[in-house]
Amino acid sequence: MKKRKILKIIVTYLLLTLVCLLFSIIYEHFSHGVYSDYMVYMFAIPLFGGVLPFGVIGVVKFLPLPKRLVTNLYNSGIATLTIGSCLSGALAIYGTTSDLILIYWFVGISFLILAMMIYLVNITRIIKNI
Amino acid sequence: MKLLNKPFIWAICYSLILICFTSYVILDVFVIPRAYVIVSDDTSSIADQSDSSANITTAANVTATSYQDDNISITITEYRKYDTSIYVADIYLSSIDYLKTAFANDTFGRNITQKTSTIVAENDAILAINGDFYGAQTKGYVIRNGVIYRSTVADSTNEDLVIYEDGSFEIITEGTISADELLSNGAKQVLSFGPGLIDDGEITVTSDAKVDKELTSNPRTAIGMIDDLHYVMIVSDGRTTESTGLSLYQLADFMQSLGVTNGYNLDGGGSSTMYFNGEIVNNPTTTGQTITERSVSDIIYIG
Repeated sequence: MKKRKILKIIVTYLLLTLVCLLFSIIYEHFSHGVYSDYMVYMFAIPLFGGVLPFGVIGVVKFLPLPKRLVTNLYNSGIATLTIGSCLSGALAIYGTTSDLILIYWFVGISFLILAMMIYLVNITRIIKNI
Repeated sequence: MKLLNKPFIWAICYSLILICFTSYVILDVFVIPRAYVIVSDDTSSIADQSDSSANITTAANVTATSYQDDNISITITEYRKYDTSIYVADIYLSSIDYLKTAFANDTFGRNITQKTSTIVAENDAILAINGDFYGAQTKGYVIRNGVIYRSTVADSTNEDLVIYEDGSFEIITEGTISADELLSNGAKQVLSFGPGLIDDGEITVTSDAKVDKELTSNPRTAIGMIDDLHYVMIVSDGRTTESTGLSLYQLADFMQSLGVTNGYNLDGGGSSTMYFNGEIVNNPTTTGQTITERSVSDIIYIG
């Protein structure tokens, strides 16, 4: 049950990584040689923020499947950071900036921290019960 | 809380929030016009007063590639270098008061743009190039015709071009001096794009240096000073089969060959436009497919 669910999440994040990679390649192709690290490395967010941690949860047996609230918060954080990175890259390539971009980083990181804190509390409870 | 624990409810709600917020950010950056300062008659009169103090001009001698009166002499020359057409306006002035800047719609703000030729028509300019597109940024010094419009530092390493009341050019970094200090030092125009290309006759960009702005070949706009009240405005084509465009180093190298002592890169790409005597001189293009002027925030002009 745990393995199947984790595998589903990992496959989703892998697909998201590929979509991000494809999008940045196409975008950079038409940007007349102007590059932005935010656009180039956008794919790293779902890869290292999604595939890697859920892969670890799948491999390490004593780590429980995160509850829905945790996955909701965590997935939202990754989505927010990915879109924030994409938009930062697009604005940088166009040659402009916006203070509103900071909101993506603030909200995204907050969601990730919150999700990880709840997950850690869950793990602590399980260990105590054992 | 239970509702949010149901499959997809959270995902749907949060996706909608993300889509709405992202749409707002895109509209805020690219579409919604925000006027901060409308250039008043009082402000523009500073330039007008200086005009009246200058010599009264006799009738100008105008050809397709030149303009000459008692105070202004302009010659447009097309060069072919680096597989690119480069247009150079060689300018002699009797006073720096004839080198001016103007905002689109006479308004300092964000997403307030007009085509270079339209701003030219509203300011009776003889020659003009696009400026630094200050409106695409929220920070960086903006001083125009002796008035500070923005004094926030974009980046402590950001290089600005300062045009002083005596007609001299200087390239400064924003972290080293404030906008107020620049104004009290006699700055008349401050343009914030960059980088500086030539300083005291030496090229300040390298062919392989990692600068934030584009290293690849593109349409370019630049301005430089050769001698006292002797300037050049340069615009290159690019992104077309006829012209590949210039890298910043190629642009600097070309300017140095013209004898430029202080040269500065302005907004390029699709913004690059040179206007002279009722005509667009270069072939402005954003995509390389169609030749069309892009709307910009500001221009530098002679008039």
